[in-house]
Amino acid sequence: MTNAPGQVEPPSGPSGVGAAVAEVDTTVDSAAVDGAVAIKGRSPWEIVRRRLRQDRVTMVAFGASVFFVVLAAIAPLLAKVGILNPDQTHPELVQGLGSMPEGFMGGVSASHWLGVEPGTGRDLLSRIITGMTTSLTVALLATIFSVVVGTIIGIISGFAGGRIDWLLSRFMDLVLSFPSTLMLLSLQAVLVDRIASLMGQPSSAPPPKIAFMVLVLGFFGFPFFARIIRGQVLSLREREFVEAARSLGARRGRIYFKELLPHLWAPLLVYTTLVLPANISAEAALGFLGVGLNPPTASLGAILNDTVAYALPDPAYFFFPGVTVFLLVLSFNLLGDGLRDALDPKAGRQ
Amino acid sequence: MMRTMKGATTVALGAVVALTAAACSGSSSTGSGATTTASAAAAAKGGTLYILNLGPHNGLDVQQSYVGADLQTANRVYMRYLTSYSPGANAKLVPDLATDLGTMSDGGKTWKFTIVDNAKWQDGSKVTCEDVKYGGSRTFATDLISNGPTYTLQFLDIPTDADGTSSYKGPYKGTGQDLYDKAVSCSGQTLTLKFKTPWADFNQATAALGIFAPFPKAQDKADKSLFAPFSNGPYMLEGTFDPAKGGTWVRNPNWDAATDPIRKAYPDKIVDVEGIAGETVYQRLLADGGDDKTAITFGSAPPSVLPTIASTPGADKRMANVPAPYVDYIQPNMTSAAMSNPKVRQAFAMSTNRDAYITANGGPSVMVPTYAICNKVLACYKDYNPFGAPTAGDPEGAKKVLTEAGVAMPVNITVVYRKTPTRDKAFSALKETWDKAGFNVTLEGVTDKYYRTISSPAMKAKDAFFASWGADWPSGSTDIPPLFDGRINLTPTSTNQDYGYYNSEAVNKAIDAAYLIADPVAREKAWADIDEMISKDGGVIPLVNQKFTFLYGSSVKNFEVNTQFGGYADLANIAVK
Repeated sequence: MTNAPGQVEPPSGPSGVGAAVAEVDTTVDSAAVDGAVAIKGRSPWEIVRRRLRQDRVTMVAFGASVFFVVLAAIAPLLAKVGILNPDQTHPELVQGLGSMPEGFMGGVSASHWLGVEPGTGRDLLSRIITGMTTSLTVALLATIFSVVVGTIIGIISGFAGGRIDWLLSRFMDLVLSFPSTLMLLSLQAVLVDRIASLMGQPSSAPPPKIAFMVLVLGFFGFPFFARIIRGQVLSLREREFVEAARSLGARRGRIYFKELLPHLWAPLLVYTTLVLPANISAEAALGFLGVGLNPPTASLGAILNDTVAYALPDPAYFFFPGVTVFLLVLSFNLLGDGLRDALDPKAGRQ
Repeated sequence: MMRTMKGATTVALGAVVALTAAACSGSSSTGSGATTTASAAAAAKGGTLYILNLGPHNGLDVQQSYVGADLQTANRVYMRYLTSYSPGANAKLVPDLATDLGTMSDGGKTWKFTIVDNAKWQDGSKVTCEDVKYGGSRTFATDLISNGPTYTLQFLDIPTDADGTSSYKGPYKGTGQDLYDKAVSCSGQTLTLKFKTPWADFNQATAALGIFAPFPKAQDKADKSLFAPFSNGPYMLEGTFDPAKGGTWVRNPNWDAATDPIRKAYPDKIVDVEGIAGETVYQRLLADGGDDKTAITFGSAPPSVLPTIASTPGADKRMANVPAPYVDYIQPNMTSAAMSNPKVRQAFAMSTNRDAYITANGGPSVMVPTYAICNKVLACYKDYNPFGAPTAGDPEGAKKVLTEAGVAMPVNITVVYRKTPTRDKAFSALKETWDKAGFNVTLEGVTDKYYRTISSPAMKAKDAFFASWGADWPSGSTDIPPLFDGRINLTPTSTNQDYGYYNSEAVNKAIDAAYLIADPVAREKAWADIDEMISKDGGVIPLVNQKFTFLYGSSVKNFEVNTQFGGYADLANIAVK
């Protein structure tokens, strides 16, 4: 099982992105000073884009990630117009012993491209795609939650220093040392009810359960962001532009969000693409353990959980959902790796 | 108290009514009614039988066990009960440690049994009436002896304390011993029992649950006897029994085949292996290699294994597909906003798609549809259809009922069930048809402590509950009152087994009347009528009768499943040579 964002690699060091910015700055400066057009000034964005475009693996991963996200986003629409049918049962397709799908590869046919689910005959492709919607929604919201909370706490901790920094850092250590999956399992009964009553919905409805998973996954993920941001801020706060803002009497809020934040987008982007697949795996693991949305709502974890028993009698049913999760997580991971390489000139690939 | 499969569960089912039992009361002929599913090759003594189980084992002490397979195995291997069921599919109630099936007098309030003179314990001492009396007394020591059937606590003619517990506190404390001695007395080998209220089918309870199984006082280590059984049957424990790993049973030199009308005891040894996952058990039985050739299991084949069995050559010849004791049902909550309306309950019952439920669970070899809460193999079963809906459900008809009743649609309801990946699919399939009829069903799966959870007041707002039940002994009296008599179930802190708060005056009156019917045939018919009454009231929606599928090794002979006595492999006639 993936222990959520714990798998993320250690930060590439505050110097990485800072150096990239510095490099860009000198290029631009020298061009301006010389007044010549021989050396063309390139914005940081342009440099990153050029590097990315040369990295074929990352481009494929990027395309695949966009494909998955778009598919997941339009799945509810497709289900509404009837192109996807995740909940409609086809008992006539699973009449064999043990209610196994009849036909080749778990009942692959023109109307069921990946076959059907044993027991109910529901279309597997529809369930995988709508399951992806659930899983990506939870993973994406949890990542955004981690990013927002992590960035704010990281900036405060890094900039304020002293006792506040010490307190916040110990708090992050505390959160990191919690076994998050166990917490999710044990907290769900209590917390889902609380959230549901706050939202004014029954605890069995999807929104409270999604909110619960997002909150808990996001909460256990925020220290990864906060620590990296804190490291960046520690080096940034000594820079002249911060000094200048401070001496001009800028308030803290302005320094945090107007002066510091724009310098942090690169590490945030990289870590977002790396934490997202970790959250997808975590959501799948939760579905596997029986936490998660109520049926018939599909989620990748719940589908995987059911397929395990069929590994021998219906390998196709076992294979397709597993491969989907594999490709989904792999493409986001490769994209994140590629982004990091592009944003950090010290990482020597090529 | 019978719940499904693993956990606190027993089962003892029988198509045997007291009448059939009485008819064959004198008969102790060997193997009566036994049918063999294995090849008819002559069985011989010798060899080792292996039992592969998931485990861990719940206990070998009959007074501390309520698990069907365990109680049945105890009876065949190391513990003779007062009465027993004969081996095989058409089992009958037969005398075992008693010379006959007991005599009832005083309208069912007094029972007399005479203990046979030639039964011996594994140390050679005689099984006496005092041993039987002592065994029965252990149940009263509720502080040390637990998890066993507690019927005798309610029935035996012993006064109760102010807090409702029996004034007799068991043989270890000895408080109230004189009260017990008055209710249970021995004169020579004759045991006399006195009950507060009539217990007409008591001799079935002794056979199915091992009530009043003997226990020699000198061997009793109270709760520590859980895995230290003292045998009066054909086998005794060799060394110790590890609940997580199992143990080995060897021949008991003091058991004499000539004195035992029921057990053949063909294998020399029985090895109980605990701690093997269900799928692994079946992979090993399918592979049929080495010692697994003489292996059986008490775990039914998971649905995903069924196609593999079908595609393995010769496996169908060593497979048994038999009725299981359990009935799956849904109980609407009579107090919920939606379900308190009888028309809504009717529409809900009419739009219940049993076919989809069965397909999702693995098909007709796993379960068969039913409309009655009483198992189809019991005498209390009645073939009726409360609202005339087919097994696939009648969503259009149900919608009409809702429309005519003027109920605003969709009717939002929450159905609570015991969550497994298979049941997720089964309830999704049920939801599809319910929703077609005008319901908007929210499914809520509960994984942890399911029955404790749904019986708690926290669940009072939910609209319907899944449950599964098997009778304690072959009578409607262990189906209807434990599930639907609100008077004995409903308390402020728990619904006990009556999850839907069913408490109908008419049904309660009928229950009281049924208990008093002396004629067993008429009595079971009365239970069947109450069964129908509750269904027609929309108080319960029985779904299916479960079935068991067992596979066994190719060298196992006389493999029989005693559908009357738990539905598991019967070890009385089994052989491996």
